[in-house]
Amino acid sequence: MAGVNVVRTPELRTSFRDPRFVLLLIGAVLLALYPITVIVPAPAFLKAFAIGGVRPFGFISDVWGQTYLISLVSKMLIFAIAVVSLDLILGYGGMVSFGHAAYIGLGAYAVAVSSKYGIDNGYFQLAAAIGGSALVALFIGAISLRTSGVYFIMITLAFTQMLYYLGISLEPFGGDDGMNTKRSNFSLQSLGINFTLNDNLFVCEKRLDPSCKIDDRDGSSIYYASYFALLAAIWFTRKLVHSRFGMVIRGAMSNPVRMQAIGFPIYRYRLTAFVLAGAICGVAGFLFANHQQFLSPVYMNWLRSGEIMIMGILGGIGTIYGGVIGAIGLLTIEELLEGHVGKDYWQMVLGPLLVVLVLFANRGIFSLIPHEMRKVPMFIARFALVIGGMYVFIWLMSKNSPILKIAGDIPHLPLYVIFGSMLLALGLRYRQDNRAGHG
Amino acid sequence: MGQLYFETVLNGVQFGVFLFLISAGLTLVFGIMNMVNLAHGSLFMMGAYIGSYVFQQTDSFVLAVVFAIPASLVLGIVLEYLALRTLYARDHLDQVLATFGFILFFNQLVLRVFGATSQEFRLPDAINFPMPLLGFTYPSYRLIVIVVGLAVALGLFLLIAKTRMGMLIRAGASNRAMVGALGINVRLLFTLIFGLGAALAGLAGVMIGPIESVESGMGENKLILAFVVIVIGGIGSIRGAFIASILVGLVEVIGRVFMKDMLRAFLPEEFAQTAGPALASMSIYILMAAVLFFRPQGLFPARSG
Repeated sequence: MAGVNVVRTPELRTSFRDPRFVLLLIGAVLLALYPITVIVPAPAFLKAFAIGGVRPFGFISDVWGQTYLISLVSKMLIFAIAVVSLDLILGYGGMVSFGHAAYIGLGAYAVAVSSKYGIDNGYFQLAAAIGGSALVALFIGAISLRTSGVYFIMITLAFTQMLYYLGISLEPFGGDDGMNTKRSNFSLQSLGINFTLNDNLFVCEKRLDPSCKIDDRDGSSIYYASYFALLAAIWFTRKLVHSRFGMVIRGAMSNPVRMQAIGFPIYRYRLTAFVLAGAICGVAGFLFANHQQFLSPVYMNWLRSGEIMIMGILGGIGTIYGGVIGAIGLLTIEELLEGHVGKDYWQMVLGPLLVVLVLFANRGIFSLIPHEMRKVPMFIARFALVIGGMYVFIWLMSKNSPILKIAGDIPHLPLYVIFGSMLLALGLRYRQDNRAGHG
Repeated sequence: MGQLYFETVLNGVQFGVFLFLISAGLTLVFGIMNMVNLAHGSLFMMGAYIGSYVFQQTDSFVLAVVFAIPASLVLGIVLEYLALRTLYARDHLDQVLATFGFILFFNQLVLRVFGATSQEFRLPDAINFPMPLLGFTYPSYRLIVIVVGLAVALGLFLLIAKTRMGMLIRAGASNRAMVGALGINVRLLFTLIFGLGAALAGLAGVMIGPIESVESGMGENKLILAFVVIVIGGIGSIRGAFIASILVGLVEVIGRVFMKDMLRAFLPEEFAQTAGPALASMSIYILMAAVLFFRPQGLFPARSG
């Protein structure tokens, strides 16, 4: 599509020679094992570290056994599914859809509407979420794909706003306020299994085991449902973009005219990709409604679409895995900022942070990691630098920042820091411009 | 009943003219620099906030307007100089992400500095009274908004069509590289256009501030409407933006007032109750989808390709 030329990171190879692959594998295993921390009590040596305050091991004991973190990570995984589906059309098809939140909303409405009418059968709800999203994506795509470039961005945005306002005015389903929903029930009564997403996969009953920390809200079943759905989405998307079909939409991104001249009906191929992405994102919406146990039209707000897109760009577009990193990364940054910097300031810090990231790391965080195994020391150094830099930044902005201690009790420190750095940036830009002018 | 029709249509025109003030700057930035600027809504919001702040300090509406416009001009130029000019050469994704960051920043900034309550911004009675007009009455301030908006529109037409700067703007829209090669300082030109757009957004903010509430996030809905307007009108076209603004304003306001009654005429009562407001708020997006379906480049495409 015209106007889109994404600078791409080299493709990830599924081999142990690619450090990024190793990293992702480690991440996947850690995520799979994470809910265990809520049933197994923390090992004694971790407690010792926590008392001794040894960093970074103290961090492990901080996250050990925190049930709310299970819920948070589930949310990250669900958003990762949405970002992966967006990456399919954005990174591989060049279709900048600014309305991807629509399908999250549709998936959520599929759960809420059917449970309101007494159907809490999970298979039906999932099918409705996928089918509904696919149908709407077919309709939206069929019209939007006639346009290109900025017009495409805007028309997808407009359709999502339409659905958003439709959701607001649907009084039977909560309207503006939203409504509570029940979790889906995946029962196989004929086999004697009766299991809802409400249950925990672990046999852990509070009544019997006082050390058991899991309660209904932080069910590990929703965690694992999201985890495996994410794996499935990644597997499917990866297979798809490397298939003949994927080659056609990637070809149509880099040179639509030539693809058409070769004889591919690129409109149909693009539309298929658009519908598939919508359907995958519908699954994310289905999981999100189950996770929140609440339905709100705000799920379809354009800020949500922007957030999904930001996750994709931060992680790196056209990498699939980048979407996962972006979703986990952005939500982690949000959480950290909210915790450390405070509710009042975190968006003010996140905003300029995004701008700086775009200006200096425009291929996403994923692109900062080299893909050759022989550069492993380099890779570790860069990775540590990125994570460490982020942490130091948040620390400097936080309430117990050393700047604050030196400067005394300044009430609006982040404000001054931001304006100071703006002035500094202005000065630097002026100097750079003058130099460029003379050189 | 005649009064209602009269007032609704004029309100539609007033809303359209107001949308034009926002979308004029947006369409220039969009069409000439090929830049998606989501932060335009924030400039609008800052205009309203600065206006309300000056009003609270001096109790003078005129001073508020006089201060808000240059303040937004400077703010726009600083923003452009600091970050946005690096983004012209990037693709739309980067522009969306960076300007989205600015939205977060400004929304939180005003919350921080001015607090979460909506700002006090009253109109002086001298310019706000029911005014007799053509046998009906109409609030005089809204009439002022219409007049100011039309004057700005006229001024922009003259600027684009008659002046040297307008010539450069048109040339920049059709071939940026060639204008630069002919010895024009394109970067300065872009900065000026951006500043002009920011000033217009600030004007829109300070004009609409007393009518609607001045609060954090007020720019976002207006920004989306402005995008709808410039996409319908054709990106980069002032004439298109003007006609599309009036169209969108009329459809939005008339739909909101009369949609329920129109549906009631041929639909059951309770269905009309639900579908009316839904259809009213969806109507401009339906309009946009329809326009793009039949004319993918908008009504008045400023350039081909």
